[in-house]
Amino acid sequence: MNSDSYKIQWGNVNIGGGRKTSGGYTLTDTIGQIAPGDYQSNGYWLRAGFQYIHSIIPFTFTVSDLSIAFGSLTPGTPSTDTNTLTVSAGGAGGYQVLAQENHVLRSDQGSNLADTTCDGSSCDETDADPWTQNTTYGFGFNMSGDDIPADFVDSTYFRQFADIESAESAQIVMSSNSIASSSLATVTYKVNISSVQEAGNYENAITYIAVPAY
Amino acid sequence: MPKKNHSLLTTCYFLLLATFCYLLLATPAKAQDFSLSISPPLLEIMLQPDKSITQAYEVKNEGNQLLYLTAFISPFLPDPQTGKVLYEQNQPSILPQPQFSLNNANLNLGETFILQPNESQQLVLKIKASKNVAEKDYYATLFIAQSVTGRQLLNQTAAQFSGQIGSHLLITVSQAGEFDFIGRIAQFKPLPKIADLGEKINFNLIVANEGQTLFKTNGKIEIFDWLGKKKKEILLRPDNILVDSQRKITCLDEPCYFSSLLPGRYQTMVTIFNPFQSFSSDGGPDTQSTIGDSSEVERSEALSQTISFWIIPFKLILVVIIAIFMGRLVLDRKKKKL
Repeated sequence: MNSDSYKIQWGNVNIGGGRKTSGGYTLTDTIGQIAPGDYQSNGYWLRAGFQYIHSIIPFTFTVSDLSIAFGSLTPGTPSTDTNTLTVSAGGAGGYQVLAQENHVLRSDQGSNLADTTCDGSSCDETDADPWTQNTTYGFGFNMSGDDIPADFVDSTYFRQFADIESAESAQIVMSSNSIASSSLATVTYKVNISSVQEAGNYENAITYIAVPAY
Repeated sequence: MPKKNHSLLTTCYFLLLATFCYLLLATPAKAQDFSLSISPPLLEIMLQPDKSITQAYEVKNEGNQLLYLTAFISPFLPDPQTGKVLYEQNQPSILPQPQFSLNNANLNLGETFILQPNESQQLVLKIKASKNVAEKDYYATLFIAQSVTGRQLLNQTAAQFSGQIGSHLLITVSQAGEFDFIGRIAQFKPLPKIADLGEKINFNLIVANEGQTLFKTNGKIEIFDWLGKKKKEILLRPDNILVDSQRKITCLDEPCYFSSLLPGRYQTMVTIFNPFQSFSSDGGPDTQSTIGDSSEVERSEALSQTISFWIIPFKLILVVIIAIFMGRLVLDRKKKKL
C-alpha cells in the first residue's frame, strides 16, 4: 500500500504483538488499538491482526465440472449428477460459500421447470427437506461432505437454489469458523419432470461464491 | 500347421499389447473446472476523508483450464443476528461511498482478463475516500468472478456453473480516528448452569456492536471460586464485530470449555477489552486478578458480565445414597437372620 510519500508491499502481514512503526507507516497488532497521533500524520490506519495469522495460505476455491448434463429426461424418473466444491481458507476466521441461480431451469422456448418444493411442499432455498417420491417434480440439490449446512440431514434432503430473478439472496452452502484445509463437499443435483412438462432443453446457470470470514 | 498357429499367436499377442498400451497411455477427457486463489483474503483499513491507499492482490489460476475473469466490488452488510455477510439483491446505495479503482496499466474493474493455468495476476486496488464521504464504516468485497464468456450451449437439459472468489474490505472512514466503545454482551450463559462433577462447562457468548465502527473481541472468560479466587481462564478469539450486528464468540485456543472443577458455586466473568483504548504492549489479560481486585481502569473501559454456575456431584451423591440404602438392606437382613 502507499500514500503520497511511502509504499508498503503486502502491508497486511501480521508480524506479532505490539505496534510497528517505521518511517511513515504503522501497523497495529492483534489488539487493534489506535494511536491518534500516528493516524493524523498518515491519514490512514491498517488494522491487521489475528485474522491474518494464516493468511500466507491463499484463499482458494475450486468447483469441479462446470456443467452438468442430465441427458434426455423421462417423466417420473429423476435424473441426478454431482460435482464438488473445495475450499482452503488460511484466515483464522474461516469462510463461507454461497450459491445462487440466474433463474429456474428454462427451455429455449421460454418454458420453466420450477425448483422443487420437495415431498411435503416444504423445502425452499434456506431449508432442505426429503425428496424421494417420483411424483415430486422440479430441480433441487443435496450436499454431503465437509462444512455443509445442518439441514442436509442425509442424501434424501434437498433444497432449491436461491433465484436471482425472484430477488432471493445467495444462500450459504458451506461454512466454517476456523481454518479450512481442502474442505470438500459434494453437490448432488436432481431433476424430475412430469408428463405435462413441455418438451425442450432446459438450462440455467448457478454461481458459487466463496468469501473468507472476517 | 504349427507355424501358422505360432504366427496367429504372435499377432494376437501384439494386438493385445497395443490395446494395453493404448488404454494405459490414453488420458481421459478432463472436465472443465474453476480453481482460483486470492491473497490477501481480508483488508481492514481506517482512512481519513480526502485520502487514498492502494493494496496489491495476487490472483492465481490454480486449475488446469484457461479462465476468463472479471474483478468488481460488491458492498455487503453484516447479518444483524449472526454477523455473516449478506449480499442483498436490491441493496440501497449510499452515496458518496469510498471510490474503488485498479491502478493496473491495462485493466479496470469490470473488465475481463484471462488467466492461463498456473498463471498469476497482480491487481492493485486503489481506495479513495472523497472529501465529503460520510464518516462511518463501509464493508465491501473485491470479487474475482468467472466470466460467462465462452459458455457453450449443451443442447440438452443442463445446469452450468461459475465460480467467484472474494476478499473482504472493512473500511472505516474517520477524520479523528477516535471512537467510543459501544458494545454489548447480548448473551452469556454457562452450559449447563448446574453441572455434575467432571462435566465440561461450555459457554454461549454473543457480543453485539452498537457503536460507530467495528471492533475485535479481545477478551477472556475467567472462573472464580466462592472465595473470589481465580481458578481458570480462557482467552476469546478476537473476531471482528461489524456495526449493527452481533456474533457468537468462541475461544482463541482449544479446549473451549472449563473442566476438572471441584464441587461448589462458581462465578464466571467475561471481559471484552476496549479496543480503542491505548495501552501498553503487555496490556493483555491479568493472570493474577481476583474477582474483587481487578484493575478499575481496565474494568471501566471494558465490557464485562458475571454469572454463576454450580458443580454438584450428582452421580457421587446417587452412588452414596444407593450404597447407604444397600447397606441398610444388608444390615436389616442380617438382623432378621439373627
